[in-house]
Formats: sequence, structure tokens, C-alpha cells
Amino acid sequence: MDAKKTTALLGIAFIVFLALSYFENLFFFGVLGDFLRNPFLAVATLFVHNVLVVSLILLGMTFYVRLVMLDFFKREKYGRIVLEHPRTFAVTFAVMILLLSIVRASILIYGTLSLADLPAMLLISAPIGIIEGYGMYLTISKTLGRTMSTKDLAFIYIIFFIAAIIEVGFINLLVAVTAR
Amino acid sequence: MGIVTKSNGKILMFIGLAFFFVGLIGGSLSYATYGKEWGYTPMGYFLAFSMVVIGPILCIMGISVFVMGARRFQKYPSKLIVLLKSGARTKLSSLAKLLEISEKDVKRMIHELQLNGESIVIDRITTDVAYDSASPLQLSHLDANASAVSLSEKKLSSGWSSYEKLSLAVSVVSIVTGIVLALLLR
Repeated sequence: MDAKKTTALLGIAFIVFLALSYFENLFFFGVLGDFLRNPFLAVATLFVHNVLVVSLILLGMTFYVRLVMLDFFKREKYGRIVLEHPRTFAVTFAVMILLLSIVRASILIYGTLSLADLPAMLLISAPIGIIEGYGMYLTISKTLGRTMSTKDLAFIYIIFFIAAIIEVGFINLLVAVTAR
Repeated sequence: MGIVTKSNGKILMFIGLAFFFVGLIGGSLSYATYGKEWGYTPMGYFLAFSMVVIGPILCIMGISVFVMGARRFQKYPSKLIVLLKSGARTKLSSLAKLLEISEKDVKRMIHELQLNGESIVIDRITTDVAYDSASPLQLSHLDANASAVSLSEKKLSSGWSSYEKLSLAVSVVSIVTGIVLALLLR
């Protein structure tokens, strides 16, 4: 298949999956409390949800990389800079995504963003945020640096599986501590 | 190179992020403690609010400086080739002085040019650099750094790569599983 057609298909797939994942996200937060009662189901659901997030990030970044490599942004002077400094931009994007996901989760769960609860939420999210942030950093830096392989992707998915186990364990621990 | 360098851009970005987070956390902590928005005194309000506003501004400035610094760096490879083609062997330090950049940057640039097919040779012991396709030094003293492969070296594959196929398949499975699980739990 032609490289341009492959890129166009990738872009279409990315947009379609993005739209579908929006509904999945709404459903996910709608039943968040229910599946947390069963730890195995919680791990599976969180893992599926996180893997979807990281796959979409990967598809989006791959689409951008392909566009730049095809010289799509002909008048854009700075298009290649993101690709030439993958680690710097990976850190920036990972921090942005994590922060936005914490804020978004807060809005979906509580209905509003409470400034008073934000430090506590950031502190509680920190251990999982570090692991998931590392997974996101790897995904973005390897995609932008064009060094991604199937083995790397499998390793990233394993990171998110470990993060899901820790997250469920941590939630149960918090529930047990607060119930005392 | 002046102030507009990549490293200065990075520093500005991190200062901006630090300002933003310190302002946000400090402001919301004081809100949680004293029950008033942002701070319990006008000064507290001013400090927290200023930090939250200044942080993103510094961050944007940092990104701009970083991008401009990176763009400035792009003109040096052509300058370096002209310098090397015009003269005989030159020390790495002399090249760095002439181009007004660090030796590390010159080394990295030479490596990228070598990967692009330019016949530049570097002696790692004497740090002599020369433009010579016939030199026996060419491959023996190269600092082989796989991560520094230039973008032009990497060809864009026409079909799907295996990791792209995997991520597409995983996305489909995740969306279907997520929606089915959510509907079952409703």
C-alpha cells in the first residue's frame, strides 16, 4: 500500500477510535464504583481502559510522525523539531496528559473541579501517576524517535498492567484505612 | 549562541512548570486550610495567582526559546562542512570555537553528518577532524550512537508496521471490552 494511503487510513482510524473511546470513557466512569468492588474485575477494566488510552496516544503520535515524514507541513518550519527532540517533548506531553487526566477524572467523578481537593488528588495519584507517566513517556519518546517495536509496545502494556494492579491495591488500601 | 539556546529553553520550561504547580498547590492548600479562595491574605492571593499566571507564560517562552535554539542549531552542519572542506585537519576544540558552540554539539553534528553520508573523519585520540573519504580513520574511531540516527536515514515504511497493527487491534478490543463491561455492570 502507498505510504500516503496508509497515513490517511491511520488518521481515519485514529479519529474513529477517539470518538468511540469518548463513549467508552463515559460508560467507564459511570460504572466506576461498581467494578471496584471486585478486585479482579477492577484490574481487568482499569488495564483495558489504560491500554486504550496508551494505544490512542501511540496512534495519534504515529499519525503525526507519518505526516511530518511525508512532508505534509510544507510551510511549517518547526514540524521536525518535535521529532528531533523526542525525549523533551515526551516529558512535556506526558506531564500534560497526566495532569489533564487527573482534572478530567475529578470532573467526571465529582461533577466539578474542586481546588480544595486538588492537592490531595495529586498526592493520591502520584504513585500511579509516576508509573503510568513513565509508560506514557516511553510510548511518546519511542514513537517520536521512531524507535518503537512490537517488543517495546508489549513492555509498555506490561507497565500498564502492573500499574492497574497497584492502582486497585492502593484504592483498596485507602478504602480500608478510611473505613477504620 | 547567546541566550536563545535549547538548554535555556528547557530551563525556562521547567521553571514555568514549577511556578504553575507551586502556585496551584499553594493556592489550593491555603484555600483548603482557610476556606477562602486562593489565599487568606491579599498578598497570598497575589502570590498564588501570579505564579499560576506567570508559570504558563514562562513555559510558552521556554518552548519558543527551545524551538528557536533548535532552529539556530540547524544552520551549523552546513557551516561545519564548509569549514572542513576549506581546510586541512582541524581540532575539535577549534571547530567549537569557530562555530561558537560546545565540543559535544560539534561531535554530535559530525556523527549525524557521517550518518547522512558525508565523508567526515574524526580521530578520537587526537580529536582531529577532517573531510576525507579516503582516510582509514573513518570507521575505526567513530562514536557509534544508534540513537543519533538522523531522520533522513529512516525511511517511511509504505505498509503498516507490526506495532501499528498491534495498537490498532488492541484499541478495537479495548473499546469493545470496555463498552460491553460497562453495559453488563449497569
